[in-house]
Amino acid sequence: MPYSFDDDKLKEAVKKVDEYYINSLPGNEDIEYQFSNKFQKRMKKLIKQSKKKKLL
Amino acid sequence: MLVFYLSVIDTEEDKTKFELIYEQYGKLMFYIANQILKDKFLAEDAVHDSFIKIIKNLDKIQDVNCHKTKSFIAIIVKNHAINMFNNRKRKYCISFDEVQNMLFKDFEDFVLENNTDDNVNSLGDIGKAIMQLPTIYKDVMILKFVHELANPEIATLLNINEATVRKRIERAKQKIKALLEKEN
Repeated sequence: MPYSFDDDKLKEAVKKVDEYYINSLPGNEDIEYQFSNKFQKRMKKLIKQSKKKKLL
Repeated sequence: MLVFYLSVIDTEEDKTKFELIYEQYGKLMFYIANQILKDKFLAEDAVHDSFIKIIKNLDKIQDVNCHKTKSFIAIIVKNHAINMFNNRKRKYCISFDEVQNMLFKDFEDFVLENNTDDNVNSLGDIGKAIMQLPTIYKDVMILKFVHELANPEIATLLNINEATVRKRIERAKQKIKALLEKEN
């Protein structure tokens, strides 16, 4: 049987699926992981860059 | 004394949007990337590279704490990790089905655990069909319809060309239609 739907119905359904998926993910606080020192140094650099970008 | 002043200056308000995103979603991003790459160091690389992408798209993030931001960030890191995985796949011959299985294992577990009629029915017929789509179609649809990005923006974000974005949206619609007709 042919089934039709418009973009509004599709949009509504995609939003629900996205919410469903996001709710299935754990919270940041529930994830036990310690980033490596190398990673943390790289992130510090990026944070500095983001601050410079904000000032420009 | 100087250290004291610096710590006072560094209040929540003074923190940049970027720092807040890092604090709030850094570990989640690692979790998503590690699910795909199964390697902690590669997953850290994926998170770092995704943050570079986030810096370039900070204007698209309004409220750090909202669902939409979590969704946006999850898509960025997921797609970057998939690209990294695919590059490795070419070296080690890992099938795309394996990527799909790894990606949605937690989501499928969640659906199975919460598979009450209310939960599943709340998604509606179209939602249930969308859930069955491969992630490459699903993510493009989410960026288009939830984040309301234009096709060129989606293309830049996912490192694909605009024609591929159009094709994925078109194919996703065809697949949803086919699934709905099959169910009926």
